[in-house]
Amino acid sequence: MGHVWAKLLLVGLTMLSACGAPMQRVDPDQDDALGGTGVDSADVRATADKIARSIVAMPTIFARGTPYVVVQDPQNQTRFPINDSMIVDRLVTLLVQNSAGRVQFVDRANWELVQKERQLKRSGAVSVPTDGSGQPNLAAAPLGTDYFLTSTLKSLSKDNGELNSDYIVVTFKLTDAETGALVWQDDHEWKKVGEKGVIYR
Amino acid sequence: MRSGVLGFLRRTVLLPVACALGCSAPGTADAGRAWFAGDSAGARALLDARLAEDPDGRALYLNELGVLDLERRDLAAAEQRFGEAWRLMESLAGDDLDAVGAIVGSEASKQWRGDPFERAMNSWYLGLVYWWRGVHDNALACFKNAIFVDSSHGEERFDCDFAPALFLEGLAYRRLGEVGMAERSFAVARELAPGCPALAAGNDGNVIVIVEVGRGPTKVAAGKHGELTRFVAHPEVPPAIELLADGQRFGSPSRAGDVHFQASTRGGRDFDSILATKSGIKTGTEVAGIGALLLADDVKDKHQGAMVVAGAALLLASFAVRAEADTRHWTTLPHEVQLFRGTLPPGKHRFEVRPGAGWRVAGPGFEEIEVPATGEVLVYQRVLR
Repeated sequence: MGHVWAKLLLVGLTMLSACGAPMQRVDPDQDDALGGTGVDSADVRATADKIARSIVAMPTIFARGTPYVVVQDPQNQTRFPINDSMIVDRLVTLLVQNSAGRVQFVDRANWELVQKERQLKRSGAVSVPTDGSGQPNLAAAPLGTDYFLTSTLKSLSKDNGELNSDYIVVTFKLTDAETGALVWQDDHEWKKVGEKGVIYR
Repeated sequence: MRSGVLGFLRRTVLLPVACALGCSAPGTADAGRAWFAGDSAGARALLDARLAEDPDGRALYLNELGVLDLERRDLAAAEQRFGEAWRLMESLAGDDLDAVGAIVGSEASKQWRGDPFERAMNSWYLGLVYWWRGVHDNALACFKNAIFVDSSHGEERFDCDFAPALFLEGLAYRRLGEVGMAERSFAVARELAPGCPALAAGNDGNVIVIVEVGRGPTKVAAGKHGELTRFVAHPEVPPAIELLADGQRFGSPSRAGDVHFQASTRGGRDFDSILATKSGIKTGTEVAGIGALLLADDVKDKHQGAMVVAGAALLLASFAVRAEADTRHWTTLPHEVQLFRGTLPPGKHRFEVRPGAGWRVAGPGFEEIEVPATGEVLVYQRVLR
């Protein structure tokens, strides 16, 4: 009997000490205990996942072969200052990892780096790598793009003193870089309501 | 193991409640006084020390330090401080032992998250910093939030009336190509501050000057037990402020926003009714305690001791009830925000904000600004007595 009580006490004390743990690893797809109605890790992941699936499921952009895409930084028009490039970074990662090269991306973020390296190679300042047949591996020009992928985050926010609510829509567009035609559009949306603590109202 | 449990209890129950009953949060009045007296280093030292020792006031100290970072144009530090303060002030968490402490003990034992006007000013500064760092969409987010928190408190009874935030929201919208939204924001800003030429329709100057003037409102306790709060204005502003570009007079800013007005025109809080109840209990126990002690003299000997004990207990209970409101407030805010908009040729210019006699600028006396070929440059200066 004494052992049972000792074990129960031990379990209880272990649980108590866990309550005060300074750090825990948590699932990024779950909401955390910190509250707030802004953009969370789960929103970033769900948005990227949905949009990646939507892009590879669209036959139009594959009609002319492998599409090349320039991804623009999103435009944040919510009331939350966030590092919104996380969403498109995650999206590109998913497409690169899972589309088996069906979608190619042009890295314009490193445009200056690419230009400088091209100059160095052509001036002889650095060596020129060769392809499989031993020929210099030089492209006539940097890649142009077939499409621009742009995105915007917008929100509707309400507050009644006790509750906050924020409805957020992230809209993605694929624009033909030659004609300007809007060839695809999709979005991901969510709404969150949060209650303020009674001492902060 | 035993010490672990005691430590846990001490951390989670005893300390917050004991602190709520016995401690009063230090606030930043001394740091504010030092800064307004021209002792930035002294103010910074006080705030750094508080930051290290008082986690509940962290957002307040970060905001005060952010203003000091702006004074020395350290945008990276200002972004970090205002950003962290933003996250603390926007948090919705709160119904925990801190809440119990604030209700049972002193309100000032809770985590400081500021009044709506202070949350709006935090977003205002964070928006300015994002703008200067070229992150225009996050600047827009901050100006939108400044408008949101200024307008939304208490069942949306208030509309935002801080014209500078609406004007900057318009600029940010325009920078992002949302011309229609920009015009809407500009129109509301014009309505709110019709006497400010910087906001006038047709003024498309490429130099926008923000001059923050004077000392913001001081929050003080009122009521029998300090259960009410009032904002005391410091309305002194210089009669005229001159803006000079390359040594030539460029113009004068005029008032677009009044921070004291923002602070003093909010409605009451839900927590005010808790404080009113505590104040009533404090008064009731005090009166009953004194009454019991007075009556003790008149009752028979066998009841006298009990009456004295009861009276003393009631007075002790009255003493223990902490009904005073939390008067911690952001001390380094300005009294008002003035704006000017004019045109200079693209290129570098030497810029100066020159207040009248008896006033000074907090920050560099001269700044070199780069006026772009398209778009506009945002210049900032703080003017103090």
